[in-house]
Amino acid sequence: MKLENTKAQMRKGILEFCILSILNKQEAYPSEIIDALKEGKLIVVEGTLYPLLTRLKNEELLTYRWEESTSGPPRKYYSLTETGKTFLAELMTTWEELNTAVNKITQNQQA
Amino acid sequence: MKKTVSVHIKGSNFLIEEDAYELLQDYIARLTKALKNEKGSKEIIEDVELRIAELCSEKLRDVRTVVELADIEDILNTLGDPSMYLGEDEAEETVDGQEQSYEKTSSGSTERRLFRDTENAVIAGVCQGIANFFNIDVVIVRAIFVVVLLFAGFGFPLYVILWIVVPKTKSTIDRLRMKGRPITVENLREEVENAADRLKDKGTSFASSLRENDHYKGRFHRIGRIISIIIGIGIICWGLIWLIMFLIFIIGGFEFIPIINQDGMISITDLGTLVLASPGDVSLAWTGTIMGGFGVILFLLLLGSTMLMKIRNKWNKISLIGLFSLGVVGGLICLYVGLKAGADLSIEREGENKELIVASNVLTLIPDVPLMKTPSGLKVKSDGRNGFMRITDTEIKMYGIDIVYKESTDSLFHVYQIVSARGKSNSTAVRRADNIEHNIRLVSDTLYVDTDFHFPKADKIRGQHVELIIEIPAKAKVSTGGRTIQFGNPSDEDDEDYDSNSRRRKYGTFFGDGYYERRRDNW
Repeated sequence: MKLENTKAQMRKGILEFCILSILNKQEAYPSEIIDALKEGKLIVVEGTLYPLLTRLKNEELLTYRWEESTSGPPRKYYSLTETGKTFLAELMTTWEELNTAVNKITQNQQA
Repeated sequence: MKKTVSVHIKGSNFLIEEDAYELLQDYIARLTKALKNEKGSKEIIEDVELRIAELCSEKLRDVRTVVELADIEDILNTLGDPSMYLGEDEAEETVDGQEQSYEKTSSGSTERRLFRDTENAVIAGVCQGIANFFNIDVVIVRAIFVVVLLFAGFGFPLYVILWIVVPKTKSTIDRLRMKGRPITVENLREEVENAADRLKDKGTSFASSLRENDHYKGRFHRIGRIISIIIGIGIICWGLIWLIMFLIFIIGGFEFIPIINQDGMISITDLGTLVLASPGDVSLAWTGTIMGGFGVILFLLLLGSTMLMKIRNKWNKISLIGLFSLGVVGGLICLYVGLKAGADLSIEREGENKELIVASNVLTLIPDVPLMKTPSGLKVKSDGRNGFMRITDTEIKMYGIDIVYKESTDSLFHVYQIVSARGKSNSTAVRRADNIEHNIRLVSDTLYVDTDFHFPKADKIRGQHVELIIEIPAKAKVSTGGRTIQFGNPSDEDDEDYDSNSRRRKYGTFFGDGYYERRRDNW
């Protein structure tokens, strides 16, 4: 098992969670989401984002509206739907549980 | 200097360098393929295009107005390889690995089919089609064809057969099948756009084809180019040699043929009249020869120039096809005329034969002419001064008759004069044979033989032939030119054995014996 592969699997699992979290604060268009994710080193290439956004949208967790841009093509501004918000809340709980559990295990192993 | 294309992405217009555009096009195509099982793939691609447009407009923030190849490479690196979109094996391909995967590849996921590629054709697209099928450079296929053509005369028929048998691409879908690419909307679009580009390029085909090929084929192509140039030069030289030979033949060809009439030389047209079935055929043969000759020679010269200079346009192609057709038509005309004349040569018959009988120990044969040993016996050698034929207003005179010696079954000399000719029926052949005039005269025991014979010009040259069979009785001999010829005396020294067994004739009783020629010391 390659290290890169494992890293990618881990990132991939939390990517949807992170996207929903970013959009929870405020609506955003893909470039902004990308910037945020890149900052957290969660994505290597931008391409990964687009299928995820479409999937989330098709599951009706996200919705979008068009907005004209002064400096380029029109932008798709994504925001959470009500379902999305509920979904995110559940994910948040799960994440915290997981976080605690993982921290506990890894710290126990190190000790 | 680079060509740009104008692209419209989601409400924005961009000027993009052509190679950058191709790269982009390829990327979208591969992305479409990578996402084909993904729900909402159309929308994903739209989003990606939107992002590309956005990144392009970022690149153009400064004073630049054209999106360059480097920009697109950068953008595509940012977006990531299509295989990474769904993230399944994103770790397999690192960012470093992407450069290679951007190279234009024709991913062969569909079974290839053999088509003639008429859009990239020199003549009918056979070579280009084969090159597509095997995914090799067309120049190599053409080179192989030309080599086969030059050295085995095998390429022309093969090319024509493939031309007929292999279908040409009729639709864009065929074009994709030809290249073994999957039939997807993106690939289709690409082909259509390629076709549009090709049309645009026709005018400036020289420059653009060079660039296009440099772009895709690089080093491999240059080797092909060199081969192509060498073969081109070869074909041109070959064509020139034929041209010179052909011109010599047309202008002064008759000088090589030893025919004399009372005025001196005979023209090929006159000779044609004597050989071909009708005067009309002579004109036809001339037309055919000139058409065929010039057609093939000019075809070779143009083909050579085409390969040498890599000319690719419609007129060149039309000219090549035209000249080749001219050559073929010329050849067919000659074939037709030849077959027609050949029909008149199909049957050989003998005319009325003459027999002389001599009772003597020695038969003297005059004239004293040098004899030429032939498979059939001894042929009277034609007189070099006279050529082998002389044509007058009414007659054709031919030099040289065959003399065959046989052993006699009785004690007498038998001399048979056999005249024969050819025709399309028994009667025409016999009539022509009977028209042959050949004189033999017997004075006492001396036989005077004409070494020539003649027949009416109207009979044409139809294999007219005179043979003299001289049967020599045992213990008798023929004396001619200081030599003696006799049979049945094996004790003679220095005998030279002429084998007459090889000739099967209807004079069965004479068959099977050799004859002996005894030489004198001074001969």
